[in-house]
Amino acid sequence: MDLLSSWLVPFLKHRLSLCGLVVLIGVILAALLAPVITPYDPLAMDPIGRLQTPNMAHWFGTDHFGRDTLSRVIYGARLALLIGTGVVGFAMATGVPIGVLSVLFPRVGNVLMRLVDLMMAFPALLLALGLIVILGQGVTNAILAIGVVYLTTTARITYSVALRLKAETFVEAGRSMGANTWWLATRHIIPNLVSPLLVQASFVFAFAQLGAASLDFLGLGAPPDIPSWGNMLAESRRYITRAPWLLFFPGAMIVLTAFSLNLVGDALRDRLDPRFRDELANKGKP
Amino acid sequence: MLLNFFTSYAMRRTGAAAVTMAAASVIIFAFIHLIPGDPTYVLLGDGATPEQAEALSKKMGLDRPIVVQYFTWAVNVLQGDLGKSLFFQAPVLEIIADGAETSLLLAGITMVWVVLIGIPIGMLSATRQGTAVDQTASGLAMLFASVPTFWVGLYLILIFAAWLGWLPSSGYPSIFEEDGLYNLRYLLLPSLALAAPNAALILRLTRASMLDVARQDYVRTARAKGIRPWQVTTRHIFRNALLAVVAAFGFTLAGLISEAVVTETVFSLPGIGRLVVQSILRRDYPVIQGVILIIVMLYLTINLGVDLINRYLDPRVELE
Amino acid sequence: MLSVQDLTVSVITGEQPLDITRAVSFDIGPGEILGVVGESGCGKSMTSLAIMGLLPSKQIAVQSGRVLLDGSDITHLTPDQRVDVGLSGVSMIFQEPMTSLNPVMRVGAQIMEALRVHDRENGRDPFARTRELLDLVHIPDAALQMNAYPHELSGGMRQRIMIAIALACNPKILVADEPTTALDVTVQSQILNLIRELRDELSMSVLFITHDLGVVAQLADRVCVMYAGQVVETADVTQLFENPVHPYTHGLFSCLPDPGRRAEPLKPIPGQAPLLIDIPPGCAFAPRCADVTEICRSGTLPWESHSSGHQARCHHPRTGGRGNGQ
Repeated sequence: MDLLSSWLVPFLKHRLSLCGLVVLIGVILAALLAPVITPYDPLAMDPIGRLQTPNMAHWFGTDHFGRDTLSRVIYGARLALLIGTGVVGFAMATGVPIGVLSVLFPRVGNVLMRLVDLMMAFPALLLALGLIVILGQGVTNAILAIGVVYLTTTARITYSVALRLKAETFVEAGRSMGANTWWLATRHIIPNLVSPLLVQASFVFAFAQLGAASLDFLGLGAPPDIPSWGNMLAESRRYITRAPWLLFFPGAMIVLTAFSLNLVGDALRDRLDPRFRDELANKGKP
Repeated sequence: MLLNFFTSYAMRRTGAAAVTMAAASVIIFAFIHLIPGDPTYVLLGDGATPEQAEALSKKMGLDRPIVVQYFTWAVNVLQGDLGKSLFFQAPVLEIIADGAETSLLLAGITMVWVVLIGIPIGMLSATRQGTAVDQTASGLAMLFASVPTFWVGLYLILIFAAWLGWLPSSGYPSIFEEDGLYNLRYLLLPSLALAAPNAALILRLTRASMLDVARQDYVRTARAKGIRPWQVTTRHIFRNALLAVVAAFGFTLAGLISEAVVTETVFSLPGIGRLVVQSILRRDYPVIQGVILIIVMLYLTINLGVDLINRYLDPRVELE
Repeated sequence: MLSVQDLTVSVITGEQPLDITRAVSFDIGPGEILGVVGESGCGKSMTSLAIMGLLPSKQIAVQSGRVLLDGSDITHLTPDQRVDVGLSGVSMIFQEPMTSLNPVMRVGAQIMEALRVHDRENGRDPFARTRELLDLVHIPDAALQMNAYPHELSGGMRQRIMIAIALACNPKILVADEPTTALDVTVQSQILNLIRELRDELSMSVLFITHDLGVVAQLADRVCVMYAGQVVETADVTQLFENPVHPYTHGLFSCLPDPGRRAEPLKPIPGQAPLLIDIPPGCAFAPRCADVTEICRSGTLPWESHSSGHQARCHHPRTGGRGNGQ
């Protein structure tokens, strides 16, 4: 309970961050309850009711196939969460071990971190596109491709934070104590990584939304039959003058989600140990 | 003496960049081999005749060890031979060169917006910390950092092209065509869309580093001298804060390149970014490889330039 | 010369302003070196910043009291405003020479920047004057070092540059806030010697802030001891060292190693200095004092003279020299 309240403090202090948290919870609930709360089947077409403006029956209007935009936006939240979770999971599962091992075993670490730096020589979307070309299109591959991009930043942050912790631990305990690697990792490095990585996770989640939307929009992400926000934008692009509201809702959802995640990340960063704040100031973004 | 320090730094930094480029080139070379299928057919397309495949295989040295293949490829690249496009049936380098004008102009104009919007407003925000001006600017910056570029682009098209009819919505004829520089109006909306998230980033960064520098001891020393507050701000705070901003420019550029790919697609601009997307959809692998190579090269070169400028402005900078 | 009268500096947070210093008063005569001693957090640095007109933020302000320079009130003037009205007689050097110089400006330029403001009327050539100042603070190769960046210089050299900057402002009074704390011991004494030398040569006064009684003994003519934002004792340096009367001053001395009495263990003062938010009523030192009685715990304290220029804020002053009354 104490732990929980200590995490809630920054949100209670900044009302805007609290709004971010509430919006996020809303998005998660919408995704989980999608089948229950959507008024229509997101895939059901209605040739007669195409491109309807928002009205009582269809709050967000209908698209060029007569599909209900509201229902599709709600189902889009599912994919957004899936992508976000997948990317964060992949980036953490790969980046954190790379960072920690590199600190614990400097010889291997030098090589690993050089490789990470090398990957950073490729601009993010270009790296993701290259991977898509190799792996092929699809949701899983989009997650992998974006995940690899954030693997690099996550490994970098883990590395710099862990390096700092290692130095501090040695100063405190003294090298003579023969601080062993296992003790160092489990007692000092890993527990102290939790907070900075939580902050990093919320930023990665936000950027994953934007990255996935870009891939979808380019036609290189989720298959077109899946109602994702990016796909919806790509499809409605042709109807921009006839049905501008079609652009609004999915785009607004992307902004709302990413913005909320940024707010939450900022709030979490403010409660973070000031030693780690600098590391996370810029490096969270590739 | 100082120049010597700088020259020595510049040489080492350039060397490091060359090593990175060489290492990156290995990955880019491997790219073709990582694509499922026989590399010759990947490069020639499925319609290739066995004779063509045979010829290319010989040129690439596919029967030789992979290391030799890499060097064969690298030598060709250094001579400007990036292969031949499957779709255009023309040298890859020529096709990339065709898109260069659009992309470089787009990036250049965007950077002008980013600097003109991000830095002054960031400064204003920092000097008026906590006021309504600051809160509005910071809030908008955070919002724009969360907005997909293509969404901004689509709305700019809707408002300024479709509704108001002030500006063209797509395409870009070269400035060397009829109308000359007036053709830059085609790049106005795309550059604004592309500038939005990047200006937001630079704004936040400028603000944060101004506030950080303002707390430093040497600012107090400057005040103690009795110089004017505006002189403290310009000579001491701004100069040091700008260092952090300059250092971050390379990193902004990475984001800008990524977003340019999307922006060029939204506005149907004949640039390198759209070329790479279309090439992916067309499975024109030699072009994809070529574009990645050129962009990485450009990116590393500009980053090198940024680091050198940074070292020139900040004498403390050393290599890691 | 410089007179600080009932200076109260407060942090304005919430409803209740917290006092960092409470009615601090002292005077510095021409050519005098006044040492202000106290633990960190006792308000000595804030006092010096208030004297300079350099309080760090809007939330920290002079609540009451005055700072007078030759009789003119300079309390609420920032350094640049003081230049405008011709009252820029106070300069300051800081604790951290490492961070107190602009890292991307050549040191010569940083000195000249001050000269351009303070030598505006007397028409001295800033370039020549800079070299003169560098010679004055004993920086070898002045012409060469002018072009150095701060990170190319040692800590001691940087503090000399800081002093040169302070001197460029043509001060009547130099405020030195722990200028040697961050330096090596050998460099420390060089800087102390330099300060004394400059006082003699330029006949300026010095307000020297430190936590180190040893430094005070070397340098100061007179001493103020501060505790929890108040001056608790002030005396001539010899008076204070031979005959301290406030129990806190006694406590400070018993923390000092005395080479003559090596066998005796050092006696730290029990307890800790009070936090800003709960300074006890009455004598702030009462909870840690061996001589405390009921009278100490409330009301105002007497400010009693013990000899000429020797005063202390205590109900139970210890007379009879050091080591007494333990």
